[in-house]
Amino acid sequence: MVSIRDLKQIRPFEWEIPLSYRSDMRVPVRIIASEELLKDVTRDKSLPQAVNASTLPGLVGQVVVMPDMHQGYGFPIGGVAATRYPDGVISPGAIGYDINCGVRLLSSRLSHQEVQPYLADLASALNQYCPSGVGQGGHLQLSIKEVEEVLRDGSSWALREGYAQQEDLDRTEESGRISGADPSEVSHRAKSRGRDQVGTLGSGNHFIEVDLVEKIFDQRAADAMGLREGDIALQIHCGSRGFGHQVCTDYVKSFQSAVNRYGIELPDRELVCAPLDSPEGKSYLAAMRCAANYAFANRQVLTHFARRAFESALAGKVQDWHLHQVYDVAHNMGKIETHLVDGQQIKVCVHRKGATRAFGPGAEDLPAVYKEIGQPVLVPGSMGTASWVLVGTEESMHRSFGSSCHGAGRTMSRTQAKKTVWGEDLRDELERSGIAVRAGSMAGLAEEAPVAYKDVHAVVDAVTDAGIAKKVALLKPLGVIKG
Amino acid sequence: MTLKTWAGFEEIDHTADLELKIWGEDIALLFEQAALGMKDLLQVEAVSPQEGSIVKNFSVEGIDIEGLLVSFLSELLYYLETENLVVQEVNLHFEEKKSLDARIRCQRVSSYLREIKAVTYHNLEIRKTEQGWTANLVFDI
Repeated sequence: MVSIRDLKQIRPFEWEIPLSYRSDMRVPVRIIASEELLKDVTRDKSLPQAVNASTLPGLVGQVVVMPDMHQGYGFPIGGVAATRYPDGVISPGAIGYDINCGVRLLSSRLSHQEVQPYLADLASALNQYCPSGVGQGGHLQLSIKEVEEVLRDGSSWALREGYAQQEDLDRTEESGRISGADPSEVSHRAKSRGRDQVGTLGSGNHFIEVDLVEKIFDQRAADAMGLREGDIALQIHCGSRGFGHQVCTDYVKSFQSAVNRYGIELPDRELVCAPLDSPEGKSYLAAMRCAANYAFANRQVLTHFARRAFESALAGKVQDWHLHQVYDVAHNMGKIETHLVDGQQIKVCVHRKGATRAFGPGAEDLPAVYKEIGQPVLVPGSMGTASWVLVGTEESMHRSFGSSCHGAGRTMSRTQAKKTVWGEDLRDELERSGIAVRAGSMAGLAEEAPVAYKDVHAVVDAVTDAGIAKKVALLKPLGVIKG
Repeated sequence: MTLKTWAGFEEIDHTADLELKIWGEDIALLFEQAALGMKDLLQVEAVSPQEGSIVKNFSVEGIDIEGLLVSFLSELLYYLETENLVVQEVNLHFEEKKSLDARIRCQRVSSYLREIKAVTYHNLEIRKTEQGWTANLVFDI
């Protein structure tokens, strides 16, 4: 295990595991954290997993791990790694099974006071309109040909079908459609699994949350995002569902033999990878992009049904119930981007697993509205606590390949959480504190209890004090919908 | 007199995902325990009434014995997600260490609490012990 003694402090809130720690490391590991959060980090296997990740061929700069890191499988959650394009590798396990799991935030002109009398109805309507839970299909049943359109076009497909507004796409990472997606690189099995899951939330830590914009920290950025103190906002957290899980499963399997063909030796088989310019690497990239588009379309269709839920619960009772897109951003993704490495702008494949893209002001890929303030970074906290809206900075471009944290980060196993908390007690406690809870399973609710997570404020303080993101707004939950 | 079979599974603490330790006297028993252990993690609440068992026959391949185990369990996850089937009884026939023919008796479930996204290869190594075979499996959930 890596101990605190093995870490070297580089600057405030940034630590390093140097190359000398293990002979197979290709780059150092940099950890963004406060001293307090470091203690949590050394309790599980996140750091040994980060050291394993640093052995991937073609890595440049450093592997960065965020303060919400925790142990995963292969690559740690909260990890960022960039490989040189096109001769470096791409690793499906370093992106995760839930490809383009991400968060969408919508704003409103609806005040807390206005919505309060109808909050329970609104939570019930969201629960009714937005399918959630284990094994649940959605409102749509697509043919394989239609699934392929979703894979190619993502949110553009949703716009054509009447599930989106143009402003939604304008305020989505990659406009909700990442190019280079090729459905012919995806198995029939994955497409079959995708037929009835567009517009479904799933289970686990996925949620829809009605929030209050409690405090603004950066007025200019909040104005650009349409966030106003005292108003209601909505968060949607989910990914590419069974479709993405199958794509990753298929490619982790086929890469088991690819590593032998390319003579790649790894400390963990879950890190299997292939050069970006190899036939295997190109196929995975094209398939992963299909899953990314599937997830964008999924969150877009959920947004459509969330809007219908708002209308059904609030029309005629409040002045303006409409929801406007703030941003939609991935936190499990591999992206080809250009970054400054050793004084040179080079093309790399940035693997982010449980880490959010956090581009600073002026970055090329940002929509005009966010060009000057930087990219919105959405950081949902644990259930019933708080969430943060941040923006990326110049510093994040130099130090973390334009990335920041993605949430609070677990510290306790699901089994332990259930031993500590009863789902029914937790629901009652949340309801008493004014949060409407709609959950498919009480055991599932207990597994997601706030006690199982780090303090999201400490995590956000670490990334903002480190300088890789800036605070814009604090959100407090009013209603939680979980599968 | 019959001796008690050395086979079983046990959940191991993991910060975010689920981990199982599995063991069996022979490889077939080890695979069976992996299937039963994975079913246990799903937390099946209810089975569909008035429906008997359903038999599935399939073959899977893997680059080695560990790859074969992941492929076998991934196949069961696919039947779960597409047909709501969970395993009741397992009958396996191995062809060397790289392929197997499976005959699985399944039950259709109407409600289960946990969604398993995938079976991972994380640190997966099937080890020989004095009593048989053992491995640790991590599931992404």
